[in-house]
Amino acid sequence: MVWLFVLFLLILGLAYQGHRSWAIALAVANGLLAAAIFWSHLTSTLEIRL
Amino acid sequence: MNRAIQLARLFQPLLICILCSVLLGAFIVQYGFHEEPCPLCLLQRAGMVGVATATLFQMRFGLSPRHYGLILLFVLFGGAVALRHIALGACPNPLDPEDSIPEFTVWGFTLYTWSFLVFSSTLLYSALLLFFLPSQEAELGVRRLTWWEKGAAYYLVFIVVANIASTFHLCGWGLC
Repeated sequence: MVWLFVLFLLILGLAYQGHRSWAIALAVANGLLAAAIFWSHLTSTLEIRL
Repeated sequence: MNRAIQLARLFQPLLICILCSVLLGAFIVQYGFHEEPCPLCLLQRAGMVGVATATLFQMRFGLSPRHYGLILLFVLFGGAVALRHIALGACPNPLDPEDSIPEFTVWGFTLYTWSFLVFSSTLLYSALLLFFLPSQEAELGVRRLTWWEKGAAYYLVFIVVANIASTFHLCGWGLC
């Protein structure tokens, strides 16, 4: 989970340096990573209920 | 300059400051009231940081539909996590006590309900700006930030570093 925030710090650094495309690409990748973590949590808790 | 753009320039740092203050409030609850965050809470924090980061792109690189798309994606993500959290609160799992929620409330609402309200308000803000912004507006290129925008950016960096330290303290390098 800590990697999400480490990547956000990297994205902020890229934005500071002016690398727009890299910053956006990494932000999208980070969003996908967060969505994957959420999905794994969602499916594991749904399994318990079903 | 279009009035909507002027308002956007004013509200972007304000939105970042509001999101960072919400996250700071989460730290106060975590360390002041000893309420440790669950994985869903951490994901909602990541969603808020994502919205603030995409707003920073608007300040730094100019107003662009791509940046608004990024804001909407993080709002969608954070809102979905908050809704899931609310659903768990409404129907706690009797087989797994760990899955039930701590009922820490602020003004009668749980923290994840507040989180959902924050994401919903951000969605409303983005929708209003998209509605009023002129369609030809796409002033891309690296902008120099004003002192007000710089302050919001440093506030965000501080919150991200604090989240790294806190999450590492709770979960280490792996998943929580």
